[in-house]
Amino acid sequence: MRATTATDAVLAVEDVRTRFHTQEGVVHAVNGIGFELAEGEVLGVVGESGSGKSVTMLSLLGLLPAPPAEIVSGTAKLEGEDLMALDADRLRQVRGARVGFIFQDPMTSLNPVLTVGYQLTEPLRVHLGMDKAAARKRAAQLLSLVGIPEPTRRLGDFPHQFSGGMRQRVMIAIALACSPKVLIADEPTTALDVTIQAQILDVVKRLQRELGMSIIWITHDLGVVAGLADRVMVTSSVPTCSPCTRDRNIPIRGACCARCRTPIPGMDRPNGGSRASRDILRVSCRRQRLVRSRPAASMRSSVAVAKTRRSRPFTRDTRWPASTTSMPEPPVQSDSTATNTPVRSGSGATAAPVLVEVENLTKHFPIMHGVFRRQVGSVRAVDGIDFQIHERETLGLVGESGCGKSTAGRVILRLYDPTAGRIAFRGQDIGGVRGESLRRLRQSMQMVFQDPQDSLNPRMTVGSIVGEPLVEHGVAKGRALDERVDELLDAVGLSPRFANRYPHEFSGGQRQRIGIARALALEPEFIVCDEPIAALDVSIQAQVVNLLQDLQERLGLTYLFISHDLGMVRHIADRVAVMYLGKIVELAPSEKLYRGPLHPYTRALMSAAPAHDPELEARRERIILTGDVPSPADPPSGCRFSTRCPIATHECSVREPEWRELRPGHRVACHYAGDA
Amino acid sequence: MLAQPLHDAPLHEHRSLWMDVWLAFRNHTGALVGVGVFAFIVLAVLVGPFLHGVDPRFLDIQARNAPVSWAHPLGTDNLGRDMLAQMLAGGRISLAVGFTAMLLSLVVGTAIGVLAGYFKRLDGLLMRSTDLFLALPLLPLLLVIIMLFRDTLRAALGPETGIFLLIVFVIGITSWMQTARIVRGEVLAIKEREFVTAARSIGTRERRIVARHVLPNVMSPIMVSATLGIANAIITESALSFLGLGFPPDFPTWGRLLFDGANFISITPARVIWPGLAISLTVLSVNYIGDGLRDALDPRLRGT
Repeated sequence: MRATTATDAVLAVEDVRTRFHTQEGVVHAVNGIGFELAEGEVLGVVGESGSGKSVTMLSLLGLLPAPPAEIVSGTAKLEGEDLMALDADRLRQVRGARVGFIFQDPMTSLNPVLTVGYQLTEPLRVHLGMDKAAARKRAAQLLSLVGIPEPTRRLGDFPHQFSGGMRQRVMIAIALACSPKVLIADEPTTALDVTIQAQILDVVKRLQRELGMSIIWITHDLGVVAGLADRVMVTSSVPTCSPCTRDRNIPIRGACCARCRTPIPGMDRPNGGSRASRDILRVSCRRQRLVRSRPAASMRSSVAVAKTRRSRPFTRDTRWPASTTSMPEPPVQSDSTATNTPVRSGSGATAAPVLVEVENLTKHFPIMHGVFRRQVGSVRAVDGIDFQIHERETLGLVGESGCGKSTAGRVILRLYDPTAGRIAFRGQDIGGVRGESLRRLRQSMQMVFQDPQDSLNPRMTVGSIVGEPLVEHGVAKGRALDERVDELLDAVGLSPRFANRYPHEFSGGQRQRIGIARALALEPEFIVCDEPIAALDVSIQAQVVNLLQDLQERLGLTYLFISHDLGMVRHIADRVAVMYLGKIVELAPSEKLYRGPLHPYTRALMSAAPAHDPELEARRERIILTGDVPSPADPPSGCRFSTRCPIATHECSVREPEWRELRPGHRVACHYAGDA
Repeated sequence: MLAQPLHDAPLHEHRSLWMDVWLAFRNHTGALVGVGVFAFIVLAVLVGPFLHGVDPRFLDIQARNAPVSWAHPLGTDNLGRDMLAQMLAGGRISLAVGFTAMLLSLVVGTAIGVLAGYFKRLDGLLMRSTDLFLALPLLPLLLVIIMLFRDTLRAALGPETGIFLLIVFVIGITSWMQTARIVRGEVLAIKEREFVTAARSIGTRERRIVARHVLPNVMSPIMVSATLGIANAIITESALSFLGLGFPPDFPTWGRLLFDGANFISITPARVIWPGLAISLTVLSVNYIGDGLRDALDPRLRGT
């Protein structure tokens, strides 16, 4: 790898300042960002949402809508030519031809009414002046380059005929069409599942090697860039963030630094699961080692380019990131005490009585068709799952999107009626309970929702949202109601004075706290947490998870924690169940599962989740699953994973594996579990 | 940009919702102007006849097609009736018809839209009947209804009230369909939002979910159809009067004045301008009021 100097930089960006004129006033989105991109280099741009990482790139290419946005200053020299000084016509020739762009959401960035072939040949004909036949030939080549089978036939297909991962491949092919010098990828894998993300990352790495282009990879997930980027730039909207020099051991300082270092438990953390030890805080020191080395990173104002090898890991950091709420300061713990802290292992929890039991739980959604609404099939969202949750235990339910994990949680809470199977709460069958008795049952079972934006009624004050369950069940009214609401807000770390405010006045993390307060209002015993942190920024995720754990300890709660984030589940759950296409494929105490996964899907899932430590990331062996998740309306015969399983045999596609307990407390559904 | 530092905010003890709404409404210039204009119109038609004591039905053939004068501030029509008196008397009827018909169609439309959108079981039946109403040929229907009921109602309730109720009813039941469709669409979207699931998960009863979570969130389209509905009702009433199906010919309404004046537009253009202006101003001011109200009712637009 060559050193980055000003001479061989493909793209040299200096002092970009962009602001937006909004009704609330001027928002300074980008405050003097500058960086250089060498030929064949991959630059990761990491920052929280709102830190201006996308806006910077859009500013360079003149893609921002002009009235609200105003580019105050900045130069962006692409091979010596300043992009930001170009007029619209010249810039259009640059976009697509010399700079390629991949957007976040493959579902919306392709035009649904045009064939993929048309969208792919368009830039070839516009920028390179190819004729139709030549463009089609080149388009087919591009599709095979990004790993789409049968490229010539698929050119005639429309976007909806491709899966999410395949669509993102098409987007990459379009971006590559004119062999750009620079490829800008704006969170291209954020909307994808981990196993699909692993496929895409693999494709990009291969292409970068083969074509030798420079890539700017924007993401909020450090794990993604850890394995991909040569250098990482951290952006922040916080103006107080001081620039750092390369002599500093600590590369980034100030508020932005605290934020981006905010720890998330990753797959590579061996100390998850110990709820007493606040290890979630200490992992931050690893975050310093962001990148593989590259000498001499240049620093500009509020941007820090972090380099690794030189920068020593932090010795300890137990500070919480700046928070607007009154979270109690967590206890300071060192590594040595953490290991000594009594850890409640999953197997120990089995002694407690069973609170929730699910047997052969099934939920099929009918597919209706035609004028008479005949049922033509069914989506087997949940197709026979069994598990038990013990009192005061957390069961993690993990799987990719569409595997039925959320549906399972909702059926257990009786928000959907089960198609078949038994749900027992405290030994009592609740599968057929309706009307008033169901309403009474809801007092002991509650839910925390995924999207804090969507789960709070925008037209109600926080006080009436949190108090609604109390009013509905006639638990409290008048002064007693107000007092209880204040108490609940206090319990989740919000000031009672917020009771008269509306949800939109709060940040994502605070809104999730309001949702938690509402779930706690009726003093339930059991709470289903349906991806409670998926919609939050990483720095907030840790706070919310810690709050959930605190509340569990204080109030003796039992959780079903649904998530697609394996790292977070490892941290919070005592036992973990892995779901694939409506079935649980593996269930084990979390340490056992993470140390020795038995099912090939679990193994693939773990290897697909990017590690935050670049050295580990480079070292470890990866299993990249081929293909996409089959449709739950038409699941494969035999073992459902057999179509993507690396060790599948003929038997797998014929006979369904039984759900067996291979080791004490460790159940798995695979014919060959433990053989490999 | 989004959340300000909340702990710096002054402590608001028990802000009243309607106080908040009023404060936000007050900041909406268009809405305030709208309220002013609308209040003036309402006040004029209520108080005006007492100040300008000319009988709107009094024929003064001597003074027909008179220009503006002290005796006839807006002139007279071709039969010598005082225009101002007719405008004031007509405004009472037009406004009353507009508002009650709008309310009726709004209530029917919202109820059907919410029921169809929220309860899947009712959806097919209700929306097919909506389609049916949309497909009905309106004019023959109106003709039949009015022919059948006009005399009965007149006999039972007196000529004015009878016709008024009939017209309001006819306009109301023939104009709720758009509202129902729009509301149903919105309800379908709101129903899928997580806060509705959240309300169910805490055990809220269905009717409370509809009243507290669904209805307030479909206020915007309801407001829009309401403001458009008033205009629509006033115009429909004039069309009915024009066809001879509405109020009797000597009974002035704004729509009636407009249509009558249209024939004399070259001689006395004022006869078209004044009622036209009155209708436009009413519709416009109600639109602005609705606009301001919609913004004020939405906490996200209300600000803090």
